[in-house]
Amino acid sequence: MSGAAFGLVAVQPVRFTPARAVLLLGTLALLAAGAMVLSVLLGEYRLHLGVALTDPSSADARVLLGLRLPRAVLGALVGAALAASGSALQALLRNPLADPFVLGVSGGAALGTTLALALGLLVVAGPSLFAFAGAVGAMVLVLGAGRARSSPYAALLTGVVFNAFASAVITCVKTLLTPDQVGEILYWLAGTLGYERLRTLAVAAGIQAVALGVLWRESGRLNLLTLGDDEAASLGVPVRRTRWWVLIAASLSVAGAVALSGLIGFVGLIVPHLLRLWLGPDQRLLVPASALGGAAFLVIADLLTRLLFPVFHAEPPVGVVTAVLGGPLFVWLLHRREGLA
Amino acid sequence: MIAAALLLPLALLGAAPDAGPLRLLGPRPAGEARRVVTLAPSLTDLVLALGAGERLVGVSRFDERPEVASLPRVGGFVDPSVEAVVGLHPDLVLVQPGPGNKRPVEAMAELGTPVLLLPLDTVADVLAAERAVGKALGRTEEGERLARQLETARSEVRGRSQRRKPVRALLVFGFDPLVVAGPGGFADELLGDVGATNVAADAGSSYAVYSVERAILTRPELIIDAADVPGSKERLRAMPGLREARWVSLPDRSLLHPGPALEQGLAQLEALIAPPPPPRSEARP
Amino acid sequence: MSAVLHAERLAAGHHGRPVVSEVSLEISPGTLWAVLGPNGSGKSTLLRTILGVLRPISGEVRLFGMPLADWNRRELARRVAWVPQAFEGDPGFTGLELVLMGRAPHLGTWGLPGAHDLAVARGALEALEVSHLAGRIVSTLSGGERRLLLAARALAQEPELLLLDEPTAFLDLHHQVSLLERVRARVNQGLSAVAVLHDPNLAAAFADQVLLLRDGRVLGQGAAASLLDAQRLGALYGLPLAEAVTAGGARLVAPEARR
Repeated sequence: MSGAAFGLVAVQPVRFTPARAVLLLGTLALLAAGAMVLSVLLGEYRLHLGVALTDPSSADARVLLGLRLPRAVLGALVGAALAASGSALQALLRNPLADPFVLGVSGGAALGTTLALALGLLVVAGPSLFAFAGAVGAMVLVLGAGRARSSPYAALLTGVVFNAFASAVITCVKTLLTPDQVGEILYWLAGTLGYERLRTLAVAAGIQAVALGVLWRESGRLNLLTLGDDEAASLGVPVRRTRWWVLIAASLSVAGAVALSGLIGFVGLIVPHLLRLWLGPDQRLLVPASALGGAAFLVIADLLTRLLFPVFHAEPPVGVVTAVLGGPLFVWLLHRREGLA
Repeated sequence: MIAAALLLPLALLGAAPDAGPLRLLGPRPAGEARRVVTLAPSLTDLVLALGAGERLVGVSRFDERPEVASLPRVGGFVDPSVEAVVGLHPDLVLVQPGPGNKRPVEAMAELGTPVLLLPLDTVADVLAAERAVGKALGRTEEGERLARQLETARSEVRGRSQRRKPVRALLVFGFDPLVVAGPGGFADELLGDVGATNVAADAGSSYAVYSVERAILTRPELIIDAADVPGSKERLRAMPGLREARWVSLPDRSLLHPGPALEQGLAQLEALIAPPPPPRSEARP
Repeated sequence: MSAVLHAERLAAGHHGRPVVSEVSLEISPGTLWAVLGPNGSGKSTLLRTILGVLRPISGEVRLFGMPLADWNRRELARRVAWVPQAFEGDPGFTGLELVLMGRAPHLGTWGLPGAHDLAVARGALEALEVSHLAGRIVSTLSGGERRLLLAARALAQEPELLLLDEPTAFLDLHHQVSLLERVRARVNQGLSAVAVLHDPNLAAAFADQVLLLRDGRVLGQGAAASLLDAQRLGALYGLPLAEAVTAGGARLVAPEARR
């Protein structure tokens, strides 16, 4: 139908039905699973799947279970967190340019690790602990400082200010550190996926399950919230409470992701936008779809970083690959949008 | 409240991150190591000095020695590739530990690869490393020999320096920012050996960012350039307090590689410390 | 039969500063009220306060016998619906999705509509003659079409009290009249409605009662037939008005002709 092709007419008038949701989310789940399978099979080490599956003590099995699988799972968790939170925040803040870091979580995490590095605390525990502490601290500050519940933009403004503040402190700290140490922070900040232990992954998965679960639960009310506070209230939505839940869940989800992977950009911006073009603005569909799409996107980006190893004798930080992939994609998206409007 | 909370950490800045003691991670190696991967050029130097170069199967991407030119690269200091290392099936990995490579190195160990963590901050670290790696490679005598060589060289140099007047010296690792040899590291110790007083003894760590003003105030007699990039060196040379000093450069980078090359570095340092022959220019390559 | 809305000496405004005060009125079931007045006289503010999204500065408001503050948001949304002035949501939704949002107070967490809900929504679209907009994306629609969808959404809520904020803005004459006709039809079946209007003639044609607001005060309130004369309206708008009666008996008011 030409109308549908030009986006004038929707394929069907009501786009969120249980049947359609199952179909679409199922497809995306398959995509994510496929990405993970690919990521597990390919890499620097030539994996012999047969050996890996039959001989548990072989190097192949250890690489598969100890390296590839945890990394793929981590990529999926972080990608899901960033994209789903990004989608929810874009709706909540009614700002299509909102990314998951906009609430100050990124500044807090970066500040936490930078200070930990500078104080030599990183031998006590890895950067993740300090990043999480910093992120949670920022969350508390940003959500507590403004009238986050009452005003849609208070949290956004406080977050932006906090990020700027954190950035300034980090720059100051960087000048006091040696170039080696600075190199370490820069590498972490650029966003990387490492090899986390099963225990860490389990905790991370638990956090994401809860946080993203809350986001999905609120997604229906989130749709209504985009109408504006007054209209949403007139439709029976508990505005302040909904906003509060979404802010907390999104912040927690992003904190949990950033703590493990640093600041991986573009995932939280691109994936929701792409999916919105395809699926429409209904958050009941977009939140879970973004989670699945984000997982697939990041896992593939990470696979690319590993495939680039022979070229540079280094894996570029995955944040670089998402930017290189995401940047042109974003420009194309805008192009298409303009073409329609 | 926030300001106070920030001031405290800033005051503590510059505390040297403790690299931890020399230790083994992962399973105990069965016999002497036959397939060795090194993650730092200093450690490659060590293996080569022990005469076990043929056992190397992988090195870091910063390794420039011709002997290892054909070996696969497995990553850098902060980002070694666990898969690349494991893929070479090594029975020993030599690592200079740091906060950045902590997790990848632990992952290697968890996957069943023995990893030897060798901090190389002080001369004592270097001696211990020479002995430990010698033992792990089944070249205990060579390791012992290397260590004793360095110890002997040091005591001889110290002996000679007793007869000279102490020289106030500053050793510069980099100019942008100004990074100098501070207290506690091997550079500081070697400076002591050659009879130089390290004017930057009040710096926060052994490899420390130093303020230019403070450097000027210390009025060094000798400034040793150990940087790889000149950067703003000329500007610094023109500054009052620094232009009166004698500026010398290290002929090569042996002093920067903690390892067997320190012996050579020590000799170079001693040669530079001795006052120059009258009228001619400073000792510069 | 208790009053749908009872307001007593109500003062409404923002941040403690009243925009309109001393409003006392009582709305019975099955009546259509028109609120008239110059721009800035507090009409929208009054509606928002009745709706409960703006806190009254002073005075009392009771809806269906219960004080406003005691109402549960969701419960209230099942009985009171609002047609706002502008659409500020995401324009990526379709017409039907927008109208289905009106069913939200009757639905659960996910807002999944059942057959009945879909029927009500489609019925509302049909009543306003905009069924063809069901599958259209809102961003492609004109301001008037969006207003009609907002009105349909409010009808889909199946309220007992309908608040309309300048519902006829952006609508062509046909749709202005048909919208008010539909509302009138429902009012005749028992719905109560309060509509902010700019056209006194439409008020005269459709409303039972009127509330005249000027400079934050009530200039008059009561039966439309008696209040909507040229003199009073002229005082309301600060403009000389003339009166005429059509052949069909409709009384019209218009600005004095200028030469």
